[in-house]
Amino acid sequence: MQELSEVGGLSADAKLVADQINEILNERAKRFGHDAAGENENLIEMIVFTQASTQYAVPLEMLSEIRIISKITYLPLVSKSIMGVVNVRGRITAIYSLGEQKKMDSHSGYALIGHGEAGHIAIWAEDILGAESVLASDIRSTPISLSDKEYITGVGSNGMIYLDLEKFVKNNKLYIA
Amino acid sequence: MKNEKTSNDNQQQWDISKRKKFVGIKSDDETRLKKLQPIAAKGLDAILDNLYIHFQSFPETNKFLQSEKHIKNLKAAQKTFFMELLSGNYEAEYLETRLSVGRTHERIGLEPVWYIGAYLTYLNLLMPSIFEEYGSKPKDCQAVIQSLTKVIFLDMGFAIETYIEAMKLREEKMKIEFVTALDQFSATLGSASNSIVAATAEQSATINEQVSAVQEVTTTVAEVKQTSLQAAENAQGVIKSAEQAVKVSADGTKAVESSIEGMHDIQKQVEAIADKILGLSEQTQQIGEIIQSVNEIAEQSKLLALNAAIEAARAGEHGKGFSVVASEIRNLADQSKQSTNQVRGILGEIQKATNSAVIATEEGSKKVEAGVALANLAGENIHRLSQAISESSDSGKTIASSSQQQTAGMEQIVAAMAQIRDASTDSLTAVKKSEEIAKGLEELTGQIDVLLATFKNVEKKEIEWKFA
Repeated sequence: MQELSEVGGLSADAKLVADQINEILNERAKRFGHDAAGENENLIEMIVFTQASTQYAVPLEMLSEIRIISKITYLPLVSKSIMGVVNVRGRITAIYSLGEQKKMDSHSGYALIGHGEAGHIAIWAEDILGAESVLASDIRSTPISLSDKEYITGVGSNGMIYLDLEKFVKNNKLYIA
Repeated sequence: MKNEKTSNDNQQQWDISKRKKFVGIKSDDETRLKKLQPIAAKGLDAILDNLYIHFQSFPETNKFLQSEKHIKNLKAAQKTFFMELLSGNYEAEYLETRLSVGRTHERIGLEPVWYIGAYLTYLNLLMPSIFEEYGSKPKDCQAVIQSLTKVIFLDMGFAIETYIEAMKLREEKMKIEFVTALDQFSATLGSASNSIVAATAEQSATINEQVSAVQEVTTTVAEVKQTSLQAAENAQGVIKSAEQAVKVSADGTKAVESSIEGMHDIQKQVEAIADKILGLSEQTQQIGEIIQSVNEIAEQSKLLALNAAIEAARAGEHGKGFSVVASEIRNLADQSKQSTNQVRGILGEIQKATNSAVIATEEGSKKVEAGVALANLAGENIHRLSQAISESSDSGKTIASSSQQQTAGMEQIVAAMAQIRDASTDSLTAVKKSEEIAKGLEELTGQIDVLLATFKNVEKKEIEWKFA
């Protein structure tokens, strides 16, 4: 890439602006650019979110929508993982907590809505940190302490927990009150 | 007492007998005179009338005759007197009567010459009756006249001697009184002269002390005068200093007024700054609200970008381009959010700074108010100070005037002290003279005492001779 500063005939101020533009473009290239060799590797786009100070990541392709929720309707006699239900465009959707969350009348946060073979599901997130591309080789196997949770596909080097939303939906234990 | 009276009577008896013997009165004479008594009594009234006519013709005897009644009484007494003269009994009772007559004459001042003359007149008037009775008998007539002459002379002797004795007694009494008075006078004079001497000595000492005191007062007054002059000079210095201080305080008052005006201007400026800062704070608050909206928009944009990325992923290969766009939008949203966070942080800092500025302006305003109050107080104090200094200046003027008057008064006192000193010196001289005179009086008293002693000795001797 030809540097803008190499273009002749610029004044000092114009040169400074050009330097700033080049710096932004270089940083952007570092963030989004990747080697041609990496094209062959399996890159997975993940949505990274937090719940109870734990970072989770779920494949982008498993989600149909992310919504801001301000109110959750409490359901009695259901699993502690089910925080309640929310109305998503006329469809009543259960919203889950990955940990054992206390049932609260209202939760401000986000609902990560997925639609799989098992049906609609929504996972509650305190905050959405963003989208990341993760190499499949970077995902480590699930540690023994989390082996009972089948919906956890692995963990990252930074302690991030990777989820399989389809398995999470299929987990019959979640329905036991 | 009885023995003394008897002795006295004997002495008188002896005296009468001795005198009767001396003038030659015998019992024959007494008999003859007793016989003569009725003869003399016949013409006695006429004799007395003529006798008093004779008395009235002389002023020396007439002055004792006060009235006719008095003359009548005197005639009666005289009649008794002449009858007793011819009674033939010339003993103590007779003597007592004659002595009483002599004392009376001495007391009223009838001198013996008139008494003797009266006797002679009486004798001349009686003679015709005697010659009428005894003219035919010359021897009897002679004997009667001789007896009469004897008794008259005896009687006159008693009367004259009594007169002299009474006169001597009176003179003696007067002398005693005189001596007593003179003695008292001498004693009084001596005491007075002693007192005068003592008083003059004391006065002399007092005057000396007075002169010394006057000298001390003069010296003190001179010192006070010097002090007064110094006080007047100091007062002038105080007046000058006070005038300068008044001028300085006036300048100070103006400076304080200017300071107060400046403080008021500062207060206005600070209030204006506070208003502007409050306005900026409100605007900052509005900016914060806008930033909050922008942040929410960025959040929504991010969420939209994520959902776009989800849709792109669902679109498969055809959505890859859209995925890149969604990623860019998400990045922009992140940057917007970061920027808004930075702006929010900056706004927070601005808000803190604004609050601090508002607080600072409020404190500044309060301090300006306090400064104005202090300046006002300082102005009042300077004004009071100026008044006090003016009063001090007036007091200094009063002190200077008083000091001048005091100096004049001191000069008058010095002059008066000099006069007092001169007068004291004169008084001292006069007192010394008085002392000399008093000493002279003392000497005079001594001389009087010596004289009195001599006089007393003489009297003592004379009295001793009389009763010897």
